[in-house]
Amino acid sequence: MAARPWRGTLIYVGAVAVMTAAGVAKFNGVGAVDAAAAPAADGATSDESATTGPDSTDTGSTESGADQTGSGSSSDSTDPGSASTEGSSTSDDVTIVGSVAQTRYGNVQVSVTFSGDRITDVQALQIPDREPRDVQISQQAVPILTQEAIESGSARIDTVSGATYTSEGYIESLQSAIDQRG
Amino acid sequence: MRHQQVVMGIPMSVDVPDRDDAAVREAVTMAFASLHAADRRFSRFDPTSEVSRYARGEVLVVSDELREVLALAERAADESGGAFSIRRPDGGLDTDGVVKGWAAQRAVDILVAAGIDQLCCNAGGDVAVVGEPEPGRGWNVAVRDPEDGRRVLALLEVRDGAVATSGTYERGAHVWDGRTGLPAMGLTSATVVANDLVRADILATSVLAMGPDGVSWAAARGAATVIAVRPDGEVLTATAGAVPHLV
Repeated sequence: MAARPWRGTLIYVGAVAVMTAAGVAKFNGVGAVDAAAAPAADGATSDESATTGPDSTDTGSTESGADQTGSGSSSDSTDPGSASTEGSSTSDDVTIVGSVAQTRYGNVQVSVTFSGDRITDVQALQIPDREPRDVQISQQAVPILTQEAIESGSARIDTVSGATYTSEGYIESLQSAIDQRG
Repeated sequence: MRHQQVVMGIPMSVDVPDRDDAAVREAVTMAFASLHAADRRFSRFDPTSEVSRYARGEVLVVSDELREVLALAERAADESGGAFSIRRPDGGLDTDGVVKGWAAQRAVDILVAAGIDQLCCNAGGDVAVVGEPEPGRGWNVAVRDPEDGRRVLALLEVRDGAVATSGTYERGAHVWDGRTGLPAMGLTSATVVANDLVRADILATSVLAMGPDGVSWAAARGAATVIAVRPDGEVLTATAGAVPHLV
């Protein structure tokens, strides 16, 4: 493939916040991400927060206990699945908890809310926070990928260059949630 | 179908849209096997790896792989006036600036040789793509803003190319300027788009080591596009061809 010339388009360059206002609102309620999201959150619209609000508080409260076990890797594949269908009979919105993805810097776990076939919300339930450095990584790397996950519902961003450690763990947990939904 | 494994302590993924047949899975297995093999050969943390033994002067017959990586490193050092160096300031040998992109590109070549004509490989933030994810659209590769992970610095639509980013924001100042032995501080990130990931990764690391002067330098040495960010947030860009379309 090296023989072929690079074909591509630089769509834009600059400190452009492509995250939609709805995307910014998603980070509220995820403790370690709050600090990073705060400066921009004031402009967030509420178009989707009404539907995601109950889900996010629900998963947030159950997550905090499991979060501290940390080493619960052996049960990764079984415990999230149990939550996967609870909302499906009463609403179009379904929230599914992804498996715990282990990364070099700690576990990553997300929950995904579907409205029909569209991903409308992604919450980070676990992100690495054992050391100050990890917190910095989490704050910087996870939000853009939350954005990516949301954007991927409309096929806008396929991948991210520059987020070394947490990106794939995040995508892995996200993918497992999508797979569980079937 | 996205396939993901941790290699070199870094998450790596291969995304092959619309296909999950046995041929694809076999090729993906081979591609990851080649990545793990590269990890074993070039690990600085394994005292029995070839690169560790080579650094101690214990390797009599250098493997083709190590010879290739050392040649790439030597060329990069020459081209960058010594800014790119696999010799750490403490005297140790560190081929990481070459190996990740080299190994990932080799994995992509395995996939292409197996007949896969659309894929996206993300090796810990360094990306190589082939074809299109869907007809008429290239792969949309976002480049994260080094100052703020919520922001996207650039969005690149890429077909048959690679995007590598080297930055100080996740792993600290792990890139040093080989000319001075000091941590590279002139830029907080450098992103290079090139034909292949070997070139993109080496150029991105070189630009970070060289600082702002490296931006136009890289555009003259195989980079299709260079996007770099200074510590004060100023964005520097250079292109080898046409002026990019700015939105």
